Amino acid sequence: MRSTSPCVSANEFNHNNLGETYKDGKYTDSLTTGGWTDQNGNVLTNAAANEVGVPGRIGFSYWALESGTGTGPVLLAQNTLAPNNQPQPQKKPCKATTRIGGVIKAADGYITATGMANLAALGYYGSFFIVGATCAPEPGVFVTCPAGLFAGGSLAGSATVMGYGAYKVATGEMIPGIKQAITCTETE
Amino acid sequence: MKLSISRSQDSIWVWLFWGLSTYLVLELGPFLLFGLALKKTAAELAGPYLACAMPAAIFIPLVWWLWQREKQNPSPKRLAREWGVSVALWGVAVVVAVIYSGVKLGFMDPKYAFGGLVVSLLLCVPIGYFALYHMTLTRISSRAAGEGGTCPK
Repeated sequence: MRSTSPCVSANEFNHNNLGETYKDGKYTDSLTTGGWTDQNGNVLTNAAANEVGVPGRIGFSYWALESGTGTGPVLLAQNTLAPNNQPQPQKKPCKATTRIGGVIKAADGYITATGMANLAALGYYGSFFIVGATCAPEPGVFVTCPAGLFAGGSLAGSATVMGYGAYKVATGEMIPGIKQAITCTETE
Repeated sequence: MKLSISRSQDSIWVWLFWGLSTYLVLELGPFLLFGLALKKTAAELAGPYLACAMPAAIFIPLVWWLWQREKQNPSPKRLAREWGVSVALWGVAVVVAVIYSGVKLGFMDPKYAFGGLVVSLLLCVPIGYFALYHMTLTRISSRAAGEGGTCPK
């Protein structure tokens, strides 16, 4: 007998007195549990059986002949339903509130990000002004340069935090909002 | 002490000593406060402290070199460009130090750190360059006007 399933070859599927084996004995159709079991005796769920391609649970029906020979090839497997023929879930219609929510989220993110970027730019300008005023002027006021560097550095550090925040808001809020508005799918 | 500070115009080593030690002492204050407020150990704060000292360690010798350049009377635009580039470099060092410290101390998400670094550098470098470029040109122009010279075009 030859297999009619493209997924199951004759030497992979064997039949003996204890039940059918599959994948060279890795899986056994247990007579006691009524389902496929692996080598450790654990019963396979339908999903697991489907994943490893064991016939007889999802998308397949099978029957075995010549019980007791222990050698095979004795497989008769019939593919009755291709896995791809399973009904596809219906696409949900787009809710206007989801799209509007995305637009609001994107606008909120944009306003916050640009505000933070502007503050960062202002902070940088202030810090460079301090450094320029304390380190670049006429000789004689050079003593204030390290203090100016410290003050300017603190301000530039704050501006950097703002720049980081602007990027985080833009990527964490604005872009997901745009995606939500376009694809109409809820985002976190 | 007064003699040492006045000599720092001539000797880079005197300038480095006064400049860097003043900066490091000033920097110590906020880090001590951080350590007490956030219960961070000295070992945890050592890396960020050194990282935040790097911009000054880079810029303080550059300042001395720029002062020496100014004595050689280069063209105002060239001097302004040199100040601009130096300050932009200092800005880059500050941004890198702050982002590194933020990630190291757990204030910044490493996932956003690189993007934040890029955004900060994009803001910082042009602002730093043009701010110092114009400040230096304005200063030289006003000095030249005071001396009865011509303003640089």
